[in-house]
Amino acid sequence: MNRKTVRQCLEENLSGLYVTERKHRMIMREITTGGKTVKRKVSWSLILACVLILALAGAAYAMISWRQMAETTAQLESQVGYFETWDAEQKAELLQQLVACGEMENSEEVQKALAEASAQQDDTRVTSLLENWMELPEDAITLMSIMETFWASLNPGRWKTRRGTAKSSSRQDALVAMKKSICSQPLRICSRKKRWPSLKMP
Amino acid sequence: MNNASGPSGAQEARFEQLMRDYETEVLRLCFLYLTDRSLAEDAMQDTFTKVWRHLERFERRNDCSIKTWIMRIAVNTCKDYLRSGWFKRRKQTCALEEIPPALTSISQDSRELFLDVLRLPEKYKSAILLYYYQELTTEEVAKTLGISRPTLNRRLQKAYSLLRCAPGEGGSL
Repeated sequence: MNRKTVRQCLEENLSGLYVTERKHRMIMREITTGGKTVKRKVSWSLILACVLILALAGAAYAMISWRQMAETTAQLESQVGYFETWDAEQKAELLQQLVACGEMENSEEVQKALAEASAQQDDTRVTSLLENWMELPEDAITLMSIMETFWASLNPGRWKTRRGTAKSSSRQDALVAMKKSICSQPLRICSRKKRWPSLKMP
Repeated sequence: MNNASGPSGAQEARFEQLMRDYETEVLRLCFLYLTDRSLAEDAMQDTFTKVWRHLERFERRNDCSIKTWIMRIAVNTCKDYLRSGWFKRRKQTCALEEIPPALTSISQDSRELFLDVLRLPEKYKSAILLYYYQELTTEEVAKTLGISRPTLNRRLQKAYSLLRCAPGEGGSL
């Protein structure tokens, strides 16, 4: 057996087995262009799905936290009553504390209102002053709005105030002092905790 | 099959020429190993895919002839196929049916010798195919199979004796 014999034998028997031009082109195309490994692209649908999931999660979180806050506030409101149902003494107490912390000027008008409230149990002037401070009508004033206004005064820049005026540092110091002073008072509205503090009206 | 890791477009023409030169030889070699036409075509495609991916590296290295390198890839690809669990479970009784009809008339002796070659154990068949059919030198065959030349000589002698003793061969070759 020599090379030629074996080669000839195998060539004869395999003569029907060859690569056609069509097959050649197909393989060539598959090898050189097909099956490209490309970096996995982030599709628009994936981005949209992520955005939707984040939006839903955000909405759910906001709803849960708002509900918790609303429940807490409602509980506090039910304890202390609504502003319009407060008596003259309670409103005068709030006004006094605002004056004490420098949030309101101790003007003649304020003193007159406080005097009326204590002597005649007439809260008209006090209510008017507080409405001006809150920039809200009496029936719109709630514990939440009082807290918001007060919190905005303590954190100028971090809380968008309705007044839109930034507090000076000396004013802020005064407010912090007020916070410290009223923390020992029955009306506890100065906590920096996320949860609203228990509010005890005198 | 990765275009990025293969040669650039400039070498595509060279690769195509290589395919044209060796595709039929590789296909036949794969068929002789695997005795299955479609598997042989798959193995051939895998072989050229590997060639495409590593052609640049081979040309830089340039440690053997291109034919030896391609045949080595083909043999190793076929060995991988033979080792696969699917191939082991496959019915291997259809080798004759898989043989494509020859273009020329074939003598009975030639057909029997061909079938005897197909029936050889893999390690002897490799030696016979590369040395007798692909006409590589003993050094190239040894390199392709990853064995020493004395080992290759022993395998060739053994393969030779098996073919002589094979039924129908009658030691005539």
